[in-house]
Amino acid sequence: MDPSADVHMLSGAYAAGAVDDVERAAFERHLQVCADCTDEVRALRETLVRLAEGAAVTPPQGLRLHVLDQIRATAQDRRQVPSAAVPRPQAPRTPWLVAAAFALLAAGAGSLAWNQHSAAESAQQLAAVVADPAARRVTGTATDGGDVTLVRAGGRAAVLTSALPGLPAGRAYQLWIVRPGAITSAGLGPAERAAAGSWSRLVDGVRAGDVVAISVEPSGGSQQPTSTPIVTLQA
Amino acid sequence: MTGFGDRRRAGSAPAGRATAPDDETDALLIRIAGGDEAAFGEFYDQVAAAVYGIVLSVVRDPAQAQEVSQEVFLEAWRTAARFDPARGSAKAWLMTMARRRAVDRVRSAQASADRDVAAGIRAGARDYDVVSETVEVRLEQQQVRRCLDGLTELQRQAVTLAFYRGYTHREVSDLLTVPLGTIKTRLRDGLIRLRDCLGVV
Repeated sequence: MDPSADVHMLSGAYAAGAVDDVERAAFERHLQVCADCTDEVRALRETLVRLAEGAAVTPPQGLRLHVLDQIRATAQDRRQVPSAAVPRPQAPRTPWLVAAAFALLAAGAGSLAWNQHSAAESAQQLAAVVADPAARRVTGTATDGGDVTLVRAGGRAAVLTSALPGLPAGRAYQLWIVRPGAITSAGLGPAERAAAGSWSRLVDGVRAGDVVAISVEPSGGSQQPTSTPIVTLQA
Repeated sequence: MTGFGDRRRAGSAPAGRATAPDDETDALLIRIAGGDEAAFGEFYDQVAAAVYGIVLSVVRDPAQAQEVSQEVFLEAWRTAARFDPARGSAKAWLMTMARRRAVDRVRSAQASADRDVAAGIRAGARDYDVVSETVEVRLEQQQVRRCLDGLTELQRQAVTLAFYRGYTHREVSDLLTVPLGTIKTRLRDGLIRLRDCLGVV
């Protein structure tokens, strides 16, 4: 039998995880030169998802509570980056400095530069940023509760919020890129009650050292921020 | 009005599927990678029954299945940033993890005693009915059952023992006293037939 045809036959066992370590290594070498096999394995894994869903059993009530309790106390792993390139988390820029910058620029008539992505923006783009091994990540707590995480990969950043408070009628969250001498709008977050909880936005044109800030603005957005940011994160 | 509204998807499930669409689950896992605990709760609700079901079908013991499922969800939380949607769905990522952890649990429990092949065969003979043993009846399950019934006997045994029971293809070959090459092939063509029957693209 042709040995390469033989290794190809392993796709089912490999997808199901029913191979030993030696076979796994051999098949993974084969995958690197066989695009068809990669597609086949992917489709077979999705098939196994259906099989698992077919065997679904409602778990005991306590499991959900227990799991959610545990994750709150568990730190997440970050992607490994080559040691030479590990960016040490920098001290966040002093909030008063940013607040001062906001105050200085609030009166200025800067041009409205929307970096907001279209409605077609896909989870894939966010995923590409979040999954980038070289991505830099920083999390901050918002003034009135909730967390905001900024993940920057190259010139693109994902802003991921969690448990932010909802907003009164006519108000929305707005994202800003702050750099010395300029504050640029990076688009709007959700408005009013829909602004509560979790949402995410993709922001383009972010450079290392920029500060990404979120403030509460009238729901149509402002040219320049009109309130103190609820969170500032250095990209 | 700028039209920059909340773009959260409506999340309507395709007809005939009792579960959330895959891309919705993918989006949740991406948010989880950013430390979003609320997204984790939603993610849990979408996948917990399938995770618990597959873990239970491998480890067989509800108490252990609960422990292993807990480990699976913790691992998902910790390593969410490693999920790469280009390589498959979040559900596939999670199910691979769940099955591996369940198998690890069974193997470590059996590390001191060799697997009793004869007992395995007796257990295996009962095990082909795993899908019908499950308590909860879903639309999805009938489709899976129907598609499994459409396989040849050997394909069905190979898929059931390897996936639902966590045996390697070598062990399946021993259990069924069928040559390894044959099991390998049946596992592959069985899964391909299931893929087509279930309409996986």
